[in-house]
Amino acid sequence: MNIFNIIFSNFLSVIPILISAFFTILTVLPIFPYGISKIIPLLGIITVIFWIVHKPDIMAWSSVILIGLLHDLLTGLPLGLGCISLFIVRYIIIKIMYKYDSTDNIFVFLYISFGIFIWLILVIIGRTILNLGFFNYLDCVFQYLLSLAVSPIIIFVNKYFLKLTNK
Amino acid sequence: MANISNFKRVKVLIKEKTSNKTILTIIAFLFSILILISSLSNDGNTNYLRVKLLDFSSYILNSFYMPSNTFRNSSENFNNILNVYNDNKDLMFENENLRSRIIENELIKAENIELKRLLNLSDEIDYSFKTVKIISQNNFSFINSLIILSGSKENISLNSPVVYKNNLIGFISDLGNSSSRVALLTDINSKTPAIILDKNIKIIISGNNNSLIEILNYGEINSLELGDKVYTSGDGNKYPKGLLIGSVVKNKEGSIFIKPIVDVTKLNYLQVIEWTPKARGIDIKFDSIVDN
Repeated sequence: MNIFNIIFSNFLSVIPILISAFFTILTVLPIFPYGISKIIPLLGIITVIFWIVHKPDIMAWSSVILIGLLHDLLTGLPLGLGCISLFIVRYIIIKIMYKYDSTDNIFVFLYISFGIFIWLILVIIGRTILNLGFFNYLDCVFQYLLSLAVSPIIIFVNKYFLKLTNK
Repeated sequence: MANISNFKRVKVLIKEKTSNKTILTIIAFLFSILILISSLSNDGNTNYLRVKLLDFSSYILNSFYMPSNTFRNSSENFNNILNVYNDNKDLMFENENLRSRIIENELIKAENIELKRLLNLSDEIDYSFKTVKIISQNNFSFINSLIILSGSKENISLNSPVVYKNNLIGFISDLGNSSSRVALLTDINSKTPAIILDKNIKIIISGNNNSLIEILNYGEINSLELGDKVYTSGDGNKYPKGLLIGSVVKNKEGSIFIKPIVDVTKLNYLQVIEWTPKARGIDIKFDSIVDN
């Protein structure tokens, strides 16, 4: 194996982290239509959950913490809040995967819908407690629904990269 | 190929289950908790880390921002071209109205200067501003902020007011070397002293991560009417006096809110006011206590 092969194989193994970071950045860019800025789908979180299901070894604790920190930093959440939430989501998903292990598209969609739900609940609770105030939770419901609506597209895109990493 | 990859995945899961990963999990969890606690306690090291990471991410965000913004603007330009005839007609009508307003304003301005001279009023605080570029917008349901591509290198200071054409947008909440975060008026952490000038009613307004801003004190709220303009009061010297915030609106339940004048999602550039005590002309210095 020459040096280029080593670099290429290592690059393939960090693709999940790079893709997750890319989608996290995409979430905070002004590319979405006017009017839906409050309910922008959580593309980064969907991608992380997808890779937790398919590549739990690459999307390990350290990777999840890294992406969580990036998400907190870009969105302006208290540093560590989104990170802990993502950490707990990974823990729960891995526990579920011990019992119901499948990577069918339907199962992946269910994992994602459950993961986003847990993540949003944890962030909302954290934000409410830390700010000692309530806000409009209806937006969060719509954000959840919109995230579910776009998740098949994100799954489709990530499947392509999954094939690449399996080569 | 898919079967082999699935086999590998199951192997990883079994390995994770059988091996003793509890300690690693606890360490990772404690690390996250530690970051959160130090971030909440405004620890110097965490702030330094946050600022450095913000600076670093601003370069990445800016590189993504340019092509995405070009794409976004091109669709808006197309809409503008379609509406150019009607817009022109409206603008001509508006221009006529503005011309008559200018004459009125000149008279009021001259009268105002004369009255100030008679009352011997001191000069109001004047301010200058810097125009900055927006590279990211985070108007989620749980946070309302922006990232701008200017920081302490451009002499921007923490808590400086951020405006767009004399309309208040928010303040600088995180300051990096080359980028900063702007907390919007609609953010849950934002509290602003305000005034309804023509009625002389002072209120405190607070964001709640919604598109409308809440009024915190309900003293003379009954005399507020729909469409009343709300300005910064200048109390506490947090913001300059007289910046337009929004107008009074009512929701379906009849509760009174303030609707911001500017829709930040449509903006690409903002202005940051130089609002350090020195820039405001405050030159009070506190003597250090010397033990005799």
